[in-house]
Amino acid sequence: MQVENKLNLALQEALMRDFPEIEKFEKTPYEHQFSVEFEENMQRIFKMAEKEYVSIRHHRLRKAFVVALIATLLMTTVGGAVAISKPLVKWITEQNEKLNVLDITFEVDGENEPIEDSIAYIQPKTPKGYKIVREDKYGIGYDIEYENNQGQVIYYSQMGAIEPMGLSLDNEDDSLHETTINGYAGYVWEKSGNCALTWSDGRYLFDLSGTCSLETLEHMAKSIY
Amino acid sequence: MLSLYLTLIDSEEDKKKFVQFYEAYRGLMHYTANRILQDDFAAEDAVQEAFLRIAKNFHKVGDVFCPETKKFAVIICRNVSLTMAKKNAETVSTEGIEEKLDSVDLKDETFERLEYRLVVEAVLSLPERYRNVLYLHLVYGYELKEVANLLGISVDAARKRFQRGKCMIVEEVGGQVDAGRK
Repeated sequence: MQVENKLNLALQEALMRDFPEIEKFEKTPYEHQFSVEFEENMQRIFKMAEKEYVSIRHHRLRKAFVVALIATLLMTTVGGAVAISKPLVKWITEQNEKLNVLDITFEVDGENEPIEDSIAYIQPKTPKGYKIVREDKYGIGYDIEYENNQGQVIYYSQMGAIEPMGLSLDNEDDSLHETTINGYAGYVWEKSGNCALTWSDGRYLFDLSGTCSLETLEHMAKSIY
Repeated sequence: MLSLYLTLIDSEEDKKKFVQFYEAYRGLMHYTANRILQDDFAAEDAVQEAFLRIAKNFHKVGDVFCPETKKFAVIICRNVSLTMAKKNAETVSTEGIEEKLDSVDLKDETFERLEYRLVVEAVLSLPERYRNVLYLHLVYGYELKEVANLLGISVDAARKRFQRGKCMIVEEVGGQVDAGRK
C-alpha cells in the first residue's frame, strides 16, 4: 500500500491545483439557457439515478462478495447468503435482517464488453385483456405499464448495465423464492395479491410485477425469448 | 415497476443529493463542455451524457458542495467532451510510451524513493486520460470497473491506463521503472 500512500497524497494535491477552468468559470459570468429537450432528458436521468440509488453501499458489496465467494467454495447455502451461478451472471445475495430484504449485486462474465449507454428495448407480449397505458424508454431502461378493464395492473421494467447495480427485494415473511426464467436465475415474489418476477440474462435485468396472477407474468417473461 | 417492491436505501436523501448535484454543476459542466466543443447544443449533449454516467455511479459522491465533487463533475464532463470532439492528440504522443510500459506493474516501494513535489508536478503533466483514471481510482475511490463505466472505456483499458499512468509519473520524475513484468 506504500505506492498508494505517497501517490495518493500527490494526486490529492495535484487535483486541488488541476482544472483551472473552474476558477475562470467562477470569475466570469456564464449563463446558458438549457433547451427543453435537455431538461426532459434530464428528468429521465433523474429517474434512472433514483433506481441506481438502490445500489448497495460499497462496503456492503465487498462483504457480499466475500460471503458469496465462501459460499461458492464451500458449496453450501447455509446462513442466508448464497451465490446462484449461471454462465453469464452471478447473483450475489445477502439477507438483510434489519430491513428484511434480500440485498443483491451482480457479477457478469465478460467484463471487457463495451459499456452500454443505450439498450435494445425488448417488449414482452401484452397479455390478453390488457393494454399498454404508459411506455417510457430512457437510455439504459425501458418501462411499460399495462392495465386491463378490471383495474389490474402490470409493470414491466428492463434495465441494462446491471453490473454496477444493486437492488433489494422485499423478503418479509419469506415471500421471495428462487426461480428460473428460460434457464436464467431469478426470483419470484408473491404477497397479498401482488406478485413479481425478477431475473437477468446477464445483459439486462428484467422485472415484472403486478396485481395479476403469477401465471400471467410467467407467460409474459417467456414471450421475451 | 421495481419500486412496487424494492426497498430504496436512503432513496429520498440520495435523490435530493443528485438534484443538488445537478443544480450546482450543470452550468459549470456546460461551460467545461462548451470550451472544448465550441457548440452550445453539442455541449448540452456532453453534459447530459456526463450526468448519465455520474447517475450510474453516484453512490461514492460525498459532500455535493466540496471542491472534490466539483472537480469530479468537471473530470467526467471533460472526458465526455473530449471523446465527443475526437481529439486524440495525446494518443499519438504517448503511443510509444504505452507500448513500452504495457503490462508493467510497479513495485510498491518505487514511489517512496521519489521526491514528493516532483511527483505532484508529474501528475499534473500527465495526459488527461491517465490523470483521470488515477484521480478516480485513488482519490475518489472508484473501483477500476466503475472508473471504466464513468469514462466509457473497457475495464482492461482502465487498468492499463492506471498502470501506465503510474509508470509515466516515475519516468517523468526520473525514477526507474524497476518493476516485475506481469
